[in-house]
Amino acid sequence: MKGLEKIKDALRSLKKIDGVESCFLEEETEDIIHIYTITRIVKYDLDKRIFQEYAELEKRFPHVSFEFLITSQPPSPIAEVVF
Amino acid sequence: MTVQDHLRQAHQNEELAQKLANQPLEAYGWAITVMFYSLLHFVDAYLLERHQIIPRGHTAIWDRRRGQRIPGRNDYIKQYLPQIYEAYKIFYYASRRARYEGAYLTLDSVRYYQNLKNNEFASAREFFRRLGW
Repeated sequence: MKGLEKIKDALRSLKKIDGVESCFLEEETEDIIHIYTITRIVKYDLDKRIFQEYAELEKRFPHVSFEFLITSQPPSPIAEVVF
Repeated sequence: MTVQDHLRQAHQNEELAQKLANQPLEAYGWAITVMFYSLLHFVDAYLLERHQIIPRGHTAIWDRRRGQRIPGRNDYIKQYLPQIYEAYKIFYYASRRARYEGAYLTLDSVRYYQNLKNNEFASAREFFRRLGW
């Protein structure tokens, strides 16, 4: 499995969090990656939970510079759907 | 900006955030955004004073001409300020959501604001307070 596929695979763990609707990924370069998690509700506990998953991802891929966002709006059309 | 300029801006933002959150404004989205910019200026003061670094942006960019990655502020915080990295990341995202999505316009937003203030902001602020800032 290539690096990006491994990242996508790891991101699928976000699916199990109640309130998370979908996830997108945008690869600027192989080591600059933007992650967008889509939620319709704004709750501190939900966001903290998502950021716990983000922190795990950073530990697994320390060479990658991530930009992590949580948003209610789908990102640019060039972003790939993770789930 | 000098280190002292960054610190003045950080303190001013911290005071302003309180005013924005209190009555009559209760503008929690702006309070969160201004708290984020308070942290950002503490970070920039630290990076400048300790590492002579002036970040060029929030996130890393690819310099096509030189064929190399230029780190962003978020990368420098991860490297040089791991103590506040998690707190800063949440503020980075929350301020974006406040500015572009109007995420904290409801009365319920007070809880979100208070959690951020009492947890993430307080812990990061305490780190800088120990430096005498």
